[in-house]
Amino acid sequence: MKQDVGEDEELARYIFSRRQIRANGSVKPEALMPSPHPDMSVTRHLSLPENAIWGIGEGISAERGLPLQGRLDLVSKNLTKYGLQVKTAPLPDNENHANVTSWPQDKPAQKQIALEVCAEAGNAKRP
Amino acid sequence: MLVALPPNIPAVEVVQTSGMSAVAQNLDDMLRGISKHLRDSVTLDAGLHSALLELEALKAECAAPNWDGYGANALDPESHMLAKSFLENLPLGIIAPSIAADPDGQVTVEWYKSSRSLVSISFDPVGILHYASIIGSRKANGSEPFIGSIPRVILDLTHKVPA
Repeated sequence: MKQDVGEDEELARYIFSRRQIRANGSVKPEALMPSPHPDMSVTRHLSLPENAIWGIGEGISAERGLPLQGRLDLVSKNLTKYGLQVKTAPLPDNENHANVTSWPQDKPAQKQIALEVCAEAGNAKRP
Repeated sequence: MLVALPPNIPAVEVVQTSGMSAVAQNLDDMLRGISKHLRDSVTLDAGLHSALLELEALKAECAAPNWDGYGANALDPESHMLAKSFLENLPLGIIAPSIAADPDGQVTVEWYKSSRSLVSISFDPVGILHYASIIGSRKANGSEPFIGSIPRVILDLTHKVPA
């Protein structure tokens, strides 16, 4: 059954491209840009322990053949305040999966939101 | 490594003239020739040289789709060409940006000092620059055509990100 994603829930965005993390550990907006898709994929922390959150990322990494570079933890309300929505979208291999939807159509507006969210989220965590 | 000009060498900016006369055209050609001559000196513009190398590395890294693990498009060759032209038209002495790609296959360049001082530009293959910035408490974003000379609004933003 679908659950609403709470405003204070933490969400993980796994990062598989080394270029999306700066040398100082902060994350570039490219890591959050949805295009060419309408949504951005995230994983809800819920009550998972740290090793289980990393485990999901490692699983995706193995499936896609790309090294896991890190993850950016986001708080749901720091997305929804920009007009985005976080919707549960469980997958067979990741029942905590959710989509960040309702991105603006124009690219500069998408970039601005991604810049703001990254600026507020702090640094990537490394596996 | 990004290298700035020594402080005693002022930044050189070539502004494309809008005049249509033969004199204006000659002046424009002469300024571009001077700019190219100066650029050919790696010691003067090592930062740009490094950025161009990074751009070529990006092309290889993002040549196939799904380079980000989320179904990204392969790097767009037209976007790559625009980015190269953009870098080659930057004012001499400016700190070179870092290079990356958006999931839609567009090249991006970024000037970054901190999370409150940065400018990001994407190169739309149709010849448009999409930019977004945070400079202190001010935010600016928009789109500008790129037809060989760098739009003033974008140059102004890059100058606001301290070295």
